[in-house]
Amino acid sequence: MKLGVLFSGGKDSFLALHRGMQDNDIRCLITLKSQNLESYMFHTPNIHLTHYLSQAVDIPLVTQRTEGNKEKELKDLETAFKRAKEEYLIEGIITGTLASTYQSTRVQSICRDQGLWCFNPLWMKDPLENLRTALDIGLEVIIVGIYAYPLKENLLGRAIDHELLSELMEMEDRYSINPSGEGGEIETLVIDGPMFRSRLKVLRYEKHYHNYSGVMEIPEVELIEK
Amino acid sequence: MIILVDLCRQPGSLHNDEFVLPVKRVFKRMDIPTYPMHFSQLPALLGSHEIQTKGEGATSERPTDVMGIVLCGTALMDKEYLEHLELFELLKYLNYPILGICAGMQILSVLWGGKIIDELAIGVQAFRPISEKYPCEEIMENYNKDPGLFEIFGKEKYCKAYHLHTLSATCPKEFHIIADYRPSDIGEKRPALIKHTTKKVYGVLFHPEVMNNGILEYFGRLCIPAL
Repeated sequence: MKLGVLFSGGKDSFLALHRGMQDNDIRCLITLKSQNLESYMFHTPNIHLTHYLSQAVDIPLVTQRTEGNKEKELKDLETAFKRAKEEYLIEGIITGTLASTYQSTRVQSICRDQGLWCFNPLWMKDPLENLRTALDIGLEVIIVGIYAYPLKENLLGRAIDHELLSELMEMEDRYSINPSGEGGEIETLVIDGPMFRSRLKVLRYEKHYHNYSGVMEIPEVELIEK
Repeated sequence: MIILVDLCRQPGSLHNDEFVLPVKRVFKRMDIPTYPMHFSQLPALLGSHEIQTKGEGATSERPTDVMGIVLCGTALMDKEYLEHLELFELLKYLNYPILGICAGMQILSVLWGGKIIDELAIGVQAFRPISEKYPCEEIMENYNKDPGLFEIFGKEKYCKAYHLHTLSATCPKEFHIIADYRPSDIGEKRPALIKHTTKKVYGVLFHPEVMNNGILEYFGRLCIPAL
């Protein structure tokens, strides 16, 4: 089936892409560039990097800007799906939604209205199982956003490996932090993986952190051929 | 083991990850082994045990290691299962517990003489367990037959559930309604959870693998009482 992937550049997008690529023809990635940093629907930190990631995995990108107002952003998502359908003849959408019924409900509704199949291959997956899959398939994932107690600044830019996985498991037990960041506690960026033809190299970054909330902004990257 | 029947149009599709694996995970947490299979394989599995369903010598003997069957849900656009309802006929003659989720409930309803109806519901909506809090003779009779199921919902008047369907089903004559819901503010109340009056056959219109895992856990314990 010809599919588009709702794509933020984070680990769940890449896990969904990886699963989708197994039996389907992935025609495009679809990114909503939300101006609202509090958006419930769309990932925001470093969303501009999807342009480079699309080149890195050699799959075209459809981008749609949205102000991120609650209902207007759904119209913008609808427009993005329409464009992907017209430009790349997609028959369905894959998302990396794990457990958010808020996101799922809205994407399902828009897909139905557009006559598109909707696939959520990570749906209800255990957050730790999800992170382990990311490591097992060889995704190189760094943390670029943290939004909960007791997440500290030194997590920003850190790669997710088995050691960090153990730390996140401990935080899940003690502080109910969702280790996969499904509750919005953590945002990630994938810089390399099995589907990458060139890897993303961070050339410059700035960390902004205050009171257990922080973002690693990455204004400059380059693609290094593999 | 519990057989998890994938009702999606293609075996092993991306939708298997979305509608079958979440059910499997709930049973895995309970250490209940499961056997996922596509609906097209159902007659082969049941047929291999030579279940004779009609005439003299009819039997409902079950395969030795199967303790229950779950018919899982499908995607909004997927209605392929409705073209193959004959593959499910044997379910009527089996004696182990069966749970139909969403599309699965529609199939069970049709098998027992109910009807499929057009009805769209996407997202979280309230449903009303018909509990002992609102007694009438029939409800109390149902409650007394299945108190464990009603206990899942506690004492709340309304509970929340995740719906994802464009079709629903009526409650057949041999079933009773355990919970109902109203798809729209002005619409009629419709069955959300039904149970056969004498057999351990249940249909649930919403998705208990998303919200209300307790329904699957209850079903798991029903299949494997030793748990």
